[in-house]
Amino acid sequence: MRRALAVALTALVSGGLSAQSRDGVVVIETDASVFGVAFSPDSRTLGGLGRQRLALWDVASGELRQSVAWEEVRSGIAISSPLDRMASFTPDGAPGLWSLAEGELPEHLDLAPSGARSSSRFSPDRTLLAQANQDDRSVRVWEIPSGQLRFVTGDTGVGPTSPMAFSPDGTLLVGANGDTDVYVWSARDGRLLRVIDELQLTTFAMTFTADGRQLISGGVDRNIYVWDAETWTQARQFGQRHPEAVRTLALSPDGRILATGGQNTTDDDNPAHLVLWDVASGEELTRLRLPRAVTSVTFSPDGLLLAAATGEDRVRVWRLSQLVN
Amino acid sequence: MKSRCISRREMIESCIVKGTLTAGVATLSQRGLLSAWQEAEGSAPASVREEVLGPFYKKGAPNTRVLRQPQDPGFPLRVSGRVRNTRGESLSNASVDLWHTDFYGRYDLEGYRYRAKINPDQDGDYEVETILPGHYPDRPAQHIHYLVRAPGHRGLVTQAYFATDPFFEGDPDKHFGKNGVVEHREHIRPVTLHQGAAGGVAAITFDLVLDEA
Repeated sequence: MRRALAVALTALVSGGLSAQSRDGVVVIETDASVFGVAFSPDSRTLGGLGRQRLALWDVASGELRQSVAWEEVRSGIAISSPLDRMASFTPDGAPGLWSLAEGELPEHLDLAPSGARSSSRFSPDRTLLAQANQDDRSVRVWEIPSGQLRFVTGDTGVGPTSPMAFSPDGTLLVGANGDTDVYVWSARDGRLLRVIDELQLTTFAMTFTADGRQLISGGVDRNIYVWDAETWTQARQFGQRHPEAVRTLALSPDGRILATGGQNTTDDDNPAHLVLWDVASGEELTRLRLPRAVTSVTFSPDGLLLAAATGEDRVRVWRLSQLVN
Repeated sequence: MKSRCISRREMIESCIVKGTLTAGVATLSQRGLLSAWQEAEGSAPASVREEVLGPFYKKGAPNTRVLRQPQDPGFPLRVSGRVRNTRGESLSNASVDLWHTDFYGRYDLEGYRYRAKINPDQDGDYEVETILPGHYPDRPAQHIHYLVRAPGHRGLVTQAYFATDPFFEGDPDKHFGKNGVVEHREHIRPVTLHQGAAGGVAAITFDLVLDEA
């Protein structure tokens, strides 16, 4: 594993990425699709993770700071927010995990190999990594940085489990399955606590509110659902639906704004929208039309910036004050 | 110490030598016993391989065998097959979810057009009347999605494709790997044309073979 890292680091690249500012918006052009974006704790660095590359950019200028590339196409991409950990899995199922410390080069950490077709997610305190394995239809949770396997869940049914979300206190793990069921596990021991089976179409994205009392989810049916995280019943739906399927979503640090990114599910190359919502009322605040599917969206920890990656190989950064009053 | 996997033939021969496999019929020689076993194994169906579920599965589809309505655009299609396990046993207690696009390449997300959840008959056979699916940009080969469940068996997620699809340019053997759309060549089914009451009807067969859990 250490040798593999050495190979990856010698493939450090600096070309193929550039940035430009358009109307106060920083547009970072990447040379491959980015599937996860997150800001560093000081909101000055933006990290992007793709299937063959991770990159760190300076937010103010959009300049590339560091980049690591690898030859194989990886899956199970996870990026912590705030940014200090990234994970991805090789086609053989071997995980790569990076710890990012204040502009230092990523440090590689070891985990036991697992399935290749997967998705993964960090807990909010970044001490746990969950990986849903499509091949054996289970979810594994590791403790970070020890790499100790905490548990493997039972069968998660038919279809891939993606996405997942940890509760803010790290006690619950939720995973939405391709056959539309949503599983709630204890993140301590993997015990199945609940299965939500009332959705008819697939969930693509979900996140807990900061107080852990609610889970917000979205997916193919374009609705935005709010679930009571104690009774696991549906508390409410937002007043309108997203224009396309909800591919990704994120809450602002103060919990007042929800950002949802869309995807045309039969044609990724079609335009899609980024929508900002008032969480309290469920009403739309504003929407932006972007050229392609929105693959990842995130707020900066200081609450001033919003970043989104799109399938047109660009990452855009906005000042939130430009978008909403 | 190096270990070596023995072949299936070696294993059966070893069982014969050790007396753990004997002929129930006195006239069957050791060689005859070996070939009878291998012939029986050769006829056991291999499980159908997985293909991606995709984002368009919808829970709660109606139990109907007729997905086609009289005025629907699209070439009429009959899809049939048998639901079995790898021991060749018919799975009449299976449920088969299948779904595909309309003629224009659109999935019905609001309702249940071109979606069904059916049970095979007592022999494990299933059959639906529908239309040839359309094409759409992200997966430009016509296809039918399947989600098959049966008690005591591993759920199967797979897809069937059509050898006549222009996507394969008349030669599925050569073009099945194009754009990474189709995962397994054997899922591209030959299409036969029949005379129906109101004109031609295309037909494919697609057997669904599940692994035991």
